[in-house]
Amino acid sequence: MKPHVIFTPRAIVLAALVLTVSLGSGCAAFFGLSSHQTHRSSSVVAYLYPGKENPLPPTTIPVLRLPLRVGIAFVPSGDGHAAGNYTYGAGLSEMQKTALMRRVADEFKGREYIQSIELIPSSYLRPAGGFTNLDQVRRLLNVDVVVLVAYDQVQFTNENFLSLSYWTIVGAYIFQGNKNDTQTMMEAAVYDIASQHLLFRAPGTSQIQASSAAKYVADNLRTDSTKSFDAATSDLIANLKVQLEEFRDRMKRSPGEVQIEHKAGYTGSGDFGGLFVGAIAILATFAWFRRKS
Amino acid sequence: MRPLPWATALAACAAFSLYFVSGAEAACIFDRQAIAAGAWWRLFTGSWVHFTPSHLGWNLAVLIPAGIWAERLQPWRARALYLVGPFAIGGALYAIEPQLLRYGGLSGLAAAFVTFLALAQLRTDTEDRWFWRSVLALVALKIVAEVVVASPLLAHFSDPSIRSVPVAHLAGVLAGAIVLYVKRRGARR
Repeated sequence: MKPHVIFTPRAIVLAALVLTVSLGSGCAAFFGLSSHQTHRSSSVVAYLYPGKENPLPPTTIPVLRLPLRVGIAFVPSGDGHAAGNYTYGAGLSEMQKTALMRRVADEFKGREYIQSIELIPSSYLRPAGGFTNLDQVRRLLNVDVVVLVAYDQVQFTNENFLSLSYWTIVGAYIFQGNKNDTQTMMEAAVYDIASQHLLFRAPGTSQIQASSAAKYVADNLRTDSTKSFDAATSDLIANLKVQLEEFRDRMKRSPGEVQIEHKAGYTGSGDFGGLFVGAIAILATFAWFRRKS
Repeated sequence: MRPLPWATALAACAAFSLYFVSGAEAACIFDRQAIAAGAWWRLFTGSWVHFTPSHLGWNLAVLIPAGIWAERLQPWRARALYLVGPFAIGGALYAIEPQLLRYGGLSGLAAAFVTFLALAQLRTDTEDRWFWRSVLALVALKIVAEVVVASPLLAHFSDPSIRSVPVAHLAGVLAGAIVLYVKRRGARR
């Protein structure tokens, strides 16, 4: 007896649906997307106070010997690894870090109270090195104050309705069915190494949103990452300038907070000031009254 | 008719101009390396450079009245002091303060004119001898405090990276005294 196969319209529609979904998710799997996150980060606190939940505050007053020798360094970040749809990125390359540090350095060079700005290679800082590591860097490179730069960048990519075209294969090259979001936060913390005192800090943020076709998502995310770091650095530089001026104002208002000394090779000035003029004015007033009487 | 204090007016205008003209500070400030390379005019022009509006204002508040009075009292000696004083101050800073890289401010010249005026008044039969002696004592106190305490007495720099330089005031005082007491050629006693 011949087997009886039933190809009802309902069965055909069901089969077509299953095939479509399989092909679509197969395409998504082929390009490695449905939604995906990448996270790159480093932390000043984790570098300076490894394993310490409640670090003790510094007890000595920072002594700043002007003009300052400043070092800039990126704190070490974690290595890249993946966990499901979430990847911990390997962080910035050394070339990228150097370019960003150079941008910050160029903005602050030439100031009277800054003698030099040294770009410290990442290899000089070891993960969780703490102030011991910073002290080694201080002796090696002869810097007084260090600007520690940390970052936190998260990249998301999600599919929109155009991603349905991916099942055609060609659509993955043409239609921008992926929405990419890159959020970056950078932080610069300025420390006096000898006293382990945080002098001031400043943040910098940026966000870039873009769309891309599935085939180009990885490239576009890489480009967006670089652009986002550049934009966050610009924001960081602007905020650093503001915080530096506020720190200088704070030093004038509370001179006991920081001790200032001067090294050889300084800028000098002569100033009589309002008190001298006031004293002369008082004497002159006495002389005038005396003549009157 | 009393002589017009045109030299003081010129000095004040020069100080104002140097402060507000872009690039003038860089070209005129006392800069040790530039002087060593041959820019000797900076020994003179450095005195006319100021770093902040209050720096300019307070120095002129002392120099203008002292300069006008001195110019009316002894016009040619006062005008000679405007020429000699800055060179004396700049030269002293260059020779005695080797660690000083940059310098600016009229206070050295102002100290010169205050000293010149006070000594000139004390040479006359003024009734206010106590006043002029007090002025000289005030200038001396300021210089001593700057040397001993290493802090600008009766003045305050808003920028902690700038130091007070007592040698400038001392050189100004000496220049003021020397210009007052030096005898003119052929002068009768």
